[in-house]
Amino acid sequence: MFEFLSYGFMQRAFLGSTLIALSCSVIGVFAVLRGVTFIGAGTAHAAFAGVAFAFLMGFPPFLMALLFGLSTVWVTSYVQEKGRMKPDVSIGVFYTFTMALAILFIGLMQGYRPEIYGYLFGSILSVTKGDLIIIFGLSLGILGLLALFFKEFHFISFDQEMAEASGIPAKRLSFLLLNLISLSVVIALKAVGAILVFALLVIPAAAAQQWAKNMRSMMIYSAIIGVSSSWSGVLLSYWLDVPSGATIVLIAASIFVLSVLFSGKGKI
Amino acid sequence: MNFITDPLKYEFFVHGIMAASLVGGICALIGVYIVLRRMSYIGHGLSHAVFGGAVVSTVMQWNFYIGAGTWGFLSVLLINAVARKKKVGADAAIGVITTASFAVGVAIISRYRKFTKSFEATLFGNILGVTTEDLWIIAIVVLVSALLIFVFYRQFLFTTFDAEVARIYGVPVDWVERLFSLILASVIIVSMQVMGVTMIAAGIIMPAVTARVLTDNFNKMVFLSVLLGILGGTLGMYTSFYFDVSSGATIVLVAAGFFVIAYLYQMMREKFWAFKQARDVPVLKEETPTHIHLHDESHSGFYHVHEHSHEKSEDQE
Repeated sequence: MFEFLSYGFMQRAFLGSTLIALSCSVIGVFAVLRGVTFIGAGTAHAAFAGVAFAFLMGFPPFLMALLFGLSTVWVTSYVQEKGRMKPDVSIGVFYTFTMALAILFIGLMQGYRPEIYGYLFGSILSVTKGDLIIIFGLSLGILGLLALFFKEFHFISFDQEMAEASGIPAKRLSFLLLNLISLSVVIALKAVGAILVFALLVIPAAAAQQWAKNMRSMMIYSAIIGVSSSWSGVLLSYWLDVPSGATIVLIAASIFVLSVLFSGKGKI
Repeated sequence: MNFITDPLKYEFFVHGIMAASLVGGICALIGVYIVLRRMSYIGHGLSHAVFGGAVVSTVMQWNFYIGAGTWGFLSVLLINAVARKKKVGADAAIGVITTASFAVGVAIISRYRKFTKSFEATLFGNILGVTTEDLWIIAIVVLVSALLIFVFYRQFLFTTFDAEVARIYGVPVDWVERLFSLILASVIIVSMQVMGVTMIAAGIIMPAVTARVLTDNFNKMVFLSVLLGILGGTLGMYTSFYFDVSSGATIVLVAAGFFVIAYLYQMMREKFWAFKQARDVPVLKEETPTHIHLHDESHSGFYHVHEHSHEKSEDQE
């Protein structure tokens, strides 16, 4: 029954998916409350372009994914700061552009490279020890920063102007928050896949919102929903031989549907 | 000239370029409404959701257009229903439903067969597969959608700019929105083959945004957007042919090129006006004529389509 736990790749998958789900679902609470979830989708597609570029040029994929992913935040924030374009449009332009670049890079490659599609659809069972170390370090950093600035993030999530008025560097903090969102997306990219990683950000948080009475409980519920759907997703994908990313998302989505139907108590 | 006419000898290319320009034009037309209503997100989400429908109808051997079309339309209705419920934000509703729908597609593909070229075409677009029958369906959808948008021009426009006021004036806003969703879903379906799931959102957003950069006038924006859409589709097809890259990607890259050019042009034009004004009327600073409309910080956002002049004159009073 539990013989799968003796396999190295399954241990890594469980540990990796726990960390990823934890960081994505906790930071997802801020993304959902602030209505900036689209940046997650944008980052994921741009990061995929980074991976394709890395494969084309022979660079390390994670580094390029990080660079492309974070640059989504930088470019769209810069454009918004200049007051020239609303973020949903600039993200829309930027991510589709990077996605087109990704396809161009794939087209330029010699021969068929199936590993790339692993990044598109996610393969948590292929997480290596090196990946795990990166995931561990970065998710710890993300959660640490969130804990450190919890009060400030909490404040700006509900009332940015009020926060600004009371002397909190709200603009800088919300920029930091966007960077953290994008970072969590990038570390989850290989395991969950560019298109579905966004679901891990939104669905647990949106489901938790149905039950939660305040932000703290929303974060706890979101983390529980995120981690439990990743665990059951990994198990199901191992038993039924279906892709892990899709399974995790479908389980989380069913939890969301049940939450919408049967809750009604949440106050956030 | 051979550069242009050579590819036209191939039937697949002729089919492809006709499909690309039709799809490019209709996407750009819809895009104007999408961009002005700030619905970019739903274009993105819906194109991903339809992937699930495409896979299901392939596996179940339903007709692709009927299967995926129904799926797409149901997704929109579901998003609207969920978003209206209690405390689910619209973006969360879109996120949940469209990713879940995409995940269904991914899971089914992996059960039935391993990832293959035909699904790559669904994701990234492939011109080689456009048959005469596809072309007919594309043409009909484009014609009907364009006709509907033309006939209900005023209703769409009113709902786009101010749904609340439109409702008061007796525009059946809910039905207009449903009709728009239906049009959006059908356009996305027929665009899938040429553009690919991941690229449709770009085909919708980019020409409209480019047009928005260049003009403040709604009618001009519609005209420019459609023109850019058709041009982008055509040029994109040639690029795809000569560089052997998926058509969806090249169409988007051409559209992105247009956008960058328009953006730089507009920036230079503003710089020029700012410079000219600074040079010409430095003494008259207090009573700068109100009709000189400078695209400065306060209202250079792309969404204030008509309000400029009124705001400015009120300020001055």
